[in-house]
Amino acid sequence: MGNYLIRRLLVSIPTLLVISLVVFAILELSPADPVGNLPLTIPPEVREQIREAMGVNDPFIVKFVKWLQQFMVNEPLNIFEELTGLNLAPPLSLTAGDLVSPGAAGYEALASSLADEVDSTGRSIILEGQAQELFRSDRQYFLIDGSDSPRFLNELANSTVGRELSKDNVEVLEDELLPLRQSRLRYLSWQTRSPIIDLVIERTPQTLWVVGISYLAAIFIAVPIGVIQAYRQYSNFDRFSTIFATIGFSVPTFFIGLLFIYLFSVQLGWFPSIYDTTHVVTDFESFLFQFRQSIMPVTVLALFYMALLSRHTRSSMLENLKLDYVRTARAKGIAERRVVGHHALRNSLIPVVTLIALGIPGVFQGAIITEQIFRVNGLGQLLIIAIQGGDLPTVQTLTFIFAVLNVFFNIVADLLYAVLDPRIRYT
Amino acid sequence: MLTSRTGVAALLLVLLTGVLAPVSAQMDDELTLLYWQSASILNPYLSGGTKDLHAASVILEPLARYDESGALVPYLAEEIPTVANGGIAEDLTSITWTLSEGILWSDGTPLTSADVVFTWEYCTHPEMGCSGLSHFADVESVEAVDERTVTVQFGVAKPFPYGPFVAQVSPIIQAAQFADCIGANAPNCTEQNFGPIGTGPYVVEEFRANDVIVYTANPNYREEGKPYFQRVVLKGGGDAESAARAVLETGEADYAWNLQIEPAVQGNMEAAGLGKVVSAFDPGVERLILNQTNPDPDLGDMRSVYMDGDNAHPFLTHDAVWMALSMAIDRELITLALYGSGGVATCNILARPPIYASTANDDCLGQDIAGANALLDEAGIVDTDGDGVRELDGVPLRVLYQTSTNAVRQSTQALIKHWWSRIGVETELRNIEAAVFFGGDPGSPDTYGKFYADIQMYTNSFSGTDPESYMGSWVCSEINGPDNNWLGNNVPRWCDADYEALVAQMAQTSDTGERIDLAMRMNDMLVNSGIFIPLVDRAKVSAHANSLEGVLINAWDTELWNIADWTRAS
Repeated sequence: MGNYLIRRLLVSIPTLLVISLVVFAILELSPADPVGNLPLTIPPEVREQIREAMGVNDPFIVKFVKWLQQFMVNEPLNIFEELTGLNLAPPLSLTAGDLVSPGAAGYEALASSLADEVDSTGRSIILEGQAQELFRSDRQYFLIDGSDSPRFLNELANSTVGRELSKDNVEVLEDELLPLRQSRLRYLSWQTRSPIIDLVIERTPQTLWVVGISYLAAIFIAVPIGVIQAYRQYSNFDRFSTIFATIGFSVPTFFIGLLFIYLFSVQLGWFPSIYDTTHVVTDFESFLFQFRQSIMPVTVLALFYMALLSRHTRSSMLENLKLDYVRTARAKGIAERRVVGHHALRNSLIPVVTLIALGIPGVFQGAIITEQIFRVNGLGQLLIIAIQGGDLPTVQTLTFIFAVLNVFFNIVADLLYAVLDPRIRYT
Repeated sequence: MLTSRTGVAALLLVLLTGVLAPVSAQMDDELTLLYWQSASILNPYLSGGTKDLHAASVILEPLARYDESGALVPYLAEEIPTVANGGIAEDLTSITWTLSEGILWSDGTPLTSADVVFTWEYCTHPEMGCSGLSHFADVESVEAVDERTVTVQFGVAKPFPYGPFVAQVSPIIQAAQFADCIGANAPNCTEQNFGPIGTGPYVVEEFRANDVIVYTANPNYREEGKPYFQRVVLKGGGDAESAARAVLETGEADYAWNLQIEPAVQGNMEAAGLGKVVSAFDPGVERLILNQTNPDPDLGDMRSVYMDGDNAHPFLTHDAVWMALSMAIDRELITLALYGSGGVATCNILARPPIYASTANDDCLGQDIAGANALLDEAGIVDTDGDGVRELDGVPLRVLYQTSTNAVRQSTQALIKHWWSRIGVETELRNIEAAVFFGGDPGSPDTYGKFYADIQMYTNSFSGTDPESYMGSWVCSEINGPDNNWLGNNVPRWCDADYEALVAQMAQTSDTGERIDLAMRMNDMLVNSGIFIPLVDRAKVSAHANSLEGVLINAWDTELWNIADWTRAS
């Protein structure tokens, strides 16, 4: 089992790399432009500059390598540092030949203090012998160039443009100085210009809450329904549930969603049609509100999942109830409850559990349309907005995360299969 | 057993009544704004999208704004500089603004002229990709004269010098906060871009990109006792129709922005009596653009390329053709059926501000299909082969008519196709996703700039009230083509020396009356040269709850421009 798991995990690495390359290549062909949705009052040459600054025009391979580096290396390192409090980035130092942009990262002062050598774009060039490490204490920046004591550079706390700079040495306690670290580039969305991972983390809770709960609710309702349906095949209950499941499966969620809003928000005024993502549950009152605002989206989604799962449970149960071991159990005089609930059910659940595990990545993807209708702005809505806005980095990252989840839950489903069915052994 | 059952039942009952209690009305001091396109960022210089500009405008303020009538009103400035009060140099090459006394940033530090200078430096940095860059066009330098005075020096005479630091597109940002965010570093400053420190009535409490923004009242706001609402929630997501419903039918929100919905649906919603729809006309005109060059796919690389006039369109440049196309359209019907309060029929490319609107072309408002047919017959453009389509010199009048994907635009297309079929013009319709159509990818054949079609339709507009740069779009040097990566402003590919002369003249004219006259003449030239067929003068449409007072919808600046004055009726 252990070997099998390791092998599966190892195989998934090249799989995911290939997936990411394919996702990248396909999206690269997309003609959607991130500045396409800006008002036409912004002239074409300015749009071109915005695209340039975003890196839209970079060649495909540059973008892909950048993504690999920023998403696969930098982001995990950031998370690691945040969890451990360690800082692994190399300290920032300047060597001869480096260019310092005026204003970049607070080194405006550095640039002007070294301003005797300036290149054509107004950037200062660090000369031989000026190589130095940069340190920071509160909001003040210091240069250490070996011979000198720390040189006062810049006070950013009250900085104003055109300030007079004092190049006087300032006494600073050595241990107050923190070496300035090279900032690690993060993978930014073109729309929000913020790290995509942060967006994903911010949105996961509402998606899990709404879509996850509906998934759980569907499981807990669908499995018993399926069992009863199978046990009482062709009864009224079975017929009614079948009709119900067919409706749940075939009527699109956006239709049921709008119907619910019309009935329960517009006509009856019971539930809000706008989901408040900033709501925090602190007491019973706020829990009630959370319950009320989730009930419509959860129900709509649960209906859909339920339809699917109850059908599968029913057919699997039907198959098992006809088998010899059930007859044997009955012949031995075991209570009917135990025959159905213990023997038949456990065996029938094997395919259902696999199905449930394989459906979990779908929970993370959020039910895109349902999120849109009720304004549950979760991962699904993030993906849709990114697609509409031509925000390729976000689409690429989200698609890749979903691919990872899919691969992972496929492995989980296979393992669960072995756990549930003692006849299956992986080696 | 009995008691525990009663207990459970009682608990369930409590839960049920709690759950089913009607959705509570809005809290008195909380304002809910609904933007179905949600704000992505609060730094207007990194976005330029209207939704983001609005969201930032309650925090960041410019020196002056336009009010609902389009007049400039001072915000951070003491007064509007003019030549008369000495604020604008006699030779029109500089403008000097004086900041009002005692204005504080929301963090308590004073606003100084250094912040204004910094804003200019920030946006004009070559590696920045600043979306507001065009508002600093021709600015040579911005200098702080003293703590409260700042002079903008232009490289040329500027008859209308209110570009920099005016309106939602060019607000002042705090130098101390953005000092580290210059140039290529600008997008890395997420903290600043998501929570700028401003001088406006509100500060950001929580920002969730593309989802929701929670603002609270700025404790250092300059006007005593304002704003009225202590908390503002700007919620995004969903679609225009459900946003309108939330204000007009369920009362869950106080204000919903940008509602292009069917007039009939809107009327039904308004009937619920909870709110009203408001609209304001901006310079946006929905128009047909007629390709002056030949977009024939057989031309290969020469498709839709101007080539100094050697590649003219086979029939659209013929006067009788474009006139007939225009006459066949019933603009009033389009407006009535599809735009409602969101538009009026127009025959002008420059329809707003009203003082600039020409009346010379108003004949086009009446549909005249018989006249159009007669005109074509007279010109000898008739159907010679009996297929129902007229020919000009053997070329059948078949047009490809494209626009962006949008319900109203597709309905307009269908109507126009029908009318054109009645004058012997066959129309093929095409719609393209907005992010692609309005995109600038030079490799894509589907952009409006490439114009690989005979006719396309969209709305163009300008910001502020001065049409000079807008009217200057259609000069020869701006013609889209492979040499400028199809990124010009002159999409119809039209080149006219007389028009060019008028553009040059306007740049030299400062008298308002003369400028109006020039702009009108240019407008008349544009619509009488057959490069544009104006359709609808469009309005911004929003809705607000009846209990919300003080809303003055503004087409010239952010709709939230006077949010500090909004109150709740008791």
